[in-house]
Amino acid sequence: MRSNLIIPGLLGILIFLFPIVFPKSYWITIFIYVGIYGLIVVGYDLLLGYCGQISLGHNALFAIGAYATAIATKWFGWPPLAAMGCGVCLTCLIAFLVGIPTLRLKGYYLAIATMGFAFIVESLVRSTYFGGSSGVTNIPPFKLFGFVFDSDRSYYYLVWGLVFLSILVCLRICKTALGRGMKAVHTDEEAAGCMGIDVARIKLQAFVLSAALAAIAGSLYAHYGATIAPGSFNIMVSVKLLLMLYLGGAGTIYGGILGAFILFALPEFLGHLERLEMALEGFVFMLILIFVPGGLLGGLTRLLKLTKGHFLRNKHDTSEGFGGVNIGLKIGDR
Amino acid sequence: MDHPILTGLRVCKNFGGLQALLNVDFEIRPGSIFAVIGPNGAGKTTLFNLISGVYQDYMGEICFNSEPVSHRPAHFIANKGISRTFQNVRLFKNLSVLENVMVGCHGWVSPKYSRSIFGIRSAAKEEQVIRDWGREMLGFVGIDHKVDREVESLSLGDQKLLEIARALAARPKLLLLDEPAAGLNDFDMGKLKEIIFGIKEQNITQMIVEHNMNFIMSISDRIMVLNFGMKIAEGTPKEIVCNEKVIEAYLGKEQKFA
Repeated sequence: MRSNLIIPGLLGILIFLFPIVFPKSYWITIFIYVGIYGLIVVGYDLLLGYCGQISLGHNALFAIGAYATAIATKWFGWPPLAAMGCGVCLTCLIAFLVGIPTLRLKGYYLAIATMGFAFIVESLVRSTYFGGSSGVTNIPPFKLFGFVFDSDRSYYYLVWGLVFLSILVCLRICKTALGRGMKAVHTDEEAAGCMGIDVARIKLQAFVLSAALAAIAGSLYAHYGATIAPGSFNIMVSVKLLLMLYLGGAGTIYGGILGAFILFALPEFLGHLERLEMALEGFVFMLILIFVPGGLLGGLTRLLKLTKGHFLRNKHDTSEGFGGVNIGLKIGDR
Repeated sequence: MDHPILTGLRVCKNFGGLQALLNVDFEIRPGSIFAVIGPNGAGKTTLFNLISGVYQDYMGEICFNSEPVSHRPAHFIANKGISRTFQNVRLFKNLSVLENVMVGCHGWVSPKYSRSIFGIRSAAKEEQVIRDWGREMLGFVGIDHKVDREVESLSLGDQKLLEIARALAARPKLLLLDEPAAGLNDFDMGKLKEIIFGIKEQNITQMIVEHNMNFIMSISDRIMVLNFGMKIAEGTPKEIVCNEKVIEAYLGKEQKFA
């Protein structure tokens, strides 16, 4: 039980200390975006890494969250928290309605169907009703009980506080019967159904939950950037989510965050090699996926397990003798 | 006379013109071991898939404890108390041995998001209950010393036992075993026989599809024989061995040469 708290605790300390150690607003800005994408990818991991349901429509869910908040606060003057809540509810409702028919599909079919949904939302967002291709500008900053989030640092703590919370929630879900049910659905839907798992329901729940996180991220994105445009919500967002998840390690909850960090921070380290950026990134991704198929975090845990297993085996060798004697006695007793 | 636990009435199923089952009627007494045998392609596994709700589009009616369960989804039927194993072992390979069994508890735990997220203590308690139950089931089939192993590292025999443990974890009233003895050696088959009798002692009804005749004759109370989707005989093991139709289905018609 205690050991379960070590990693989240370390992460919490890391999150808290980062802006103190790296006070440059340049790094903080990058990390706010890492956090916003991290928020989506944590939910995405629940859906794809655990439930095994691939969605290419998460950019649309992200967009709905962002546009709902932007429009409610700017055009109707709603308080940001209410606007965010409303955006999350709307996104969940839409995800629910889209999920019922599409989640019956499997594999590529589900990916393509959700992509279709994303195209519909994208074209809606591009229409003049929602500000056209220039989007919505001058979105007021996020406010919480009278406190205005107007500095990078305040946004950093808001975003990463939520990331931390979402990680804790998802970890709890994954460590209980729900998480096992999701993994079972991932491997064999028919067998999972015969074990009493309502397959359609568990998939829909994961989809709606990941939609809620995407909507929160969208809302934060709108308030932090103050401007949103359709270009930030195209299909590439979903592709990036996929990349983040598989780079970091699917089915690990933390992995996506690591992937988001790599995707956003890696280009910054490349510096003057900027022109080669995409090629280099692509090369790194290929290397990781070929040589560490479980993603970075997956590979790391496997390495830890291997070294631990080796260590345990050495310890085991000495006790094996006793085990053997014990078994012998048992048989004798009968 | 007690009510049958499972009844099938004129059960038919066809796969795009191929008649897999045709007007099959059956009745299973509670607590008994009911075997379904027949040559390859006779429709035995199809029958299991209809009962367990894997296929929902078929004709006829299936009642469980006098309640119609035909055409209902698999999870509904599982939660009513019908649990099953699969002909080709279908374990959850991304879960450990114990976790596989714990998935079997899904029906009676009915996990909730609210409890999972907020009820830290009640969720931990629930986990403990499931884990203990899972271990007990593994102990029952005799593989409790392999709880933390990966599923794929188990031998076929152990995988089959694990599937039975997983099905039992659901606390079923009726257990469907699809070829439990296939691929087992004599030693494992002996163990399996003990387990099946152990399950019977707990008053769980069992329906078994099996090819191994010696095995099936020694355990079942009643046997139903299917051939090309039709029921050709039903009776006690002794009646079945003497039944001419059955012999014909298995060995072919006696040919008269000269």
